[in-house]
Amino acid sequence: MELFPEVLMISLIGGLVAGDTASGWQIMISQPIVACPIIGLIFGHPEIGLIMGILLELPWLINIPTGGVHGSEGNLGAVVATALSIYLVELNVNTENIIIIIAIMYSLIVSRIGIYLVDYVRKVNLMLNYSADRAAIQGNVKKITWLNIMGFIYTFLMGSGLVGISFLLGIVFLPLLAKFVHPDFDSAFGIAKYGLLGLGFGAVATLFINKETKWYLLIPLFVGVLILSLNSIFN
Amino acid sequence: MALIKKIDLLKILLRSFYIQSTWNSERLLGLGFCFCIIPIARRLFNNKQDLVNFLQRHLDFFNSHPYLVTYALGSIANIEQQAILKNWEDKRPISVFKTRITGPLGAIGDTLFWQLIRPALGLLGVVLLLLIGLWGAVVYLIVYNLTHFSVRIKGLIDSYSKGFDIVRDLSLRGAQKYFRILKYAFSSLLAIEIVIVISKIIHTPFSWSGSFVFVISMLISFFIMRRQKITIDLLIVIVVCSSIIIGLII
Repeated sequence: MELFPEVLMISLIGGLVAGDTASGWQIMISQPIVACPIIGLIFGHPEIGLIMGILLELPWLINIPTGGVHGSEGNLGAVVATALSIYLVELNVNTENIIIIIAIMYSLIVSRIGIYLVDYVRKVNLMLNYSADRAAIQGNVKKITWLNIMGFIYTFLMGSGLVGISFLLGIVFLPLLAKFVHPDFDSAFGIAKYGLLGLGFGAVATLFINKETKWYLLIPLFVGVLILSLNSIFN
Repeated sequence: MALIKKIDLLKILLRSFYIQSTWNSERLLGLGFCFCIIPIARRLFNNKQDLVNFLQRHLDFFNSHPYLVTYALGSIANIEQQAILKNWEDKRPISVFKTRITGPLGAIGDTLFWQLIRPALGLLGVVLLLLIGLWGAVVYLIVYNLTHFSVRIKGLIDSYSKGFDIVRDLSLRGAQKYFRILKYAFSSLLAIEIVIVISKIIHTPFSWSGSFVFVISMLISFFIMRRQKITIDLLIVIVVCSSIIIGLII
């Protein structure tokens, strides 16, 4: 895998993900469930893309973007984690499970930095709004149109920059970190993936389950587990 | 007599995908709203002062859920047209109307999409990725966006035909009963998905240890996140580290 074209491609995907997350379309191509498999496909490791999509989709869904509230930029972190996992697996710096978990932990830092990035973009947006006020006094419709498009472009560039730089830093530092972990720990790191998946289900469940709805969960769950148990006994 | 043409409404619809591009903490969607409504400014105003007043009116504070914003855009298009056809002297009712629908559009949209549909389809998508691989992502995108686009299109058409009267359709209290039904349905869907995931984990090399860690982590995360004591980032660190320790012990 060539480094320069890959950084360019990852940055482009980062920009699109940043744009889709909050600034533009919101057609959900930014969700890890879509973005990670696409990255996997582009770089020839669809199975890693699938795993990352499955693991990273759910935890960030409980960050509800109501009003001005915004949590960590998990979608950008997921892009970095997937790209780094693929790159490091190809470099063969350690086993796949260990690389995936280390990349996910690194992506948490990237997601956190994303908060400051969004705050900065919002300040720029306010300046654009003031410029639009001046354009309105002149009746300059074209300028208002461009100012709004500029807002999207800023978000795109910020997302691209964050993802590109994080990816480059990751390929410098993560191999050093990964070499500290003995490959015999692969199984333990593999189990952590199930822990992360469980976390996602538990976190999303908080959005639906309350005293009123709990029986709508528990009865089908009991029936399902019963069928599963009987199935495993008779097979 | 209609001054606004269908092509203008189509332009508004396409522009509405960029309504959040300049979201800021002072005017929220102010500039985005003005950007979206510009196609009708070009159609309705030849006089410069009227155009300036129109732009200033719509650069003001505005907020909505991004998908439901077409309800505001369509009704404002209708009302602005009525104001010209009926020669309104005072256009303050337009701004008052915008302020009035801000609350319901935000509350209904946030609950319907961010708290119900997106998480439920996210869960469904994860299970589909497990079952059918990459096609799961395709199915997720199609199902989600069918809902999303239909809300945007319906919002624009309905609100353009109803104008002020669209307020009657945007009752949060009226929407609550549908939210409750969705919560029941999604709770049962969640149960089925949990069973499917466990049945998949059982067929991996980590069968029992993987299922055990999945269930324990799910329960702990549910109770911790319900109390909202820690952020999801910190919970991920705790769960991953604990799972590795459990993996080492097993």
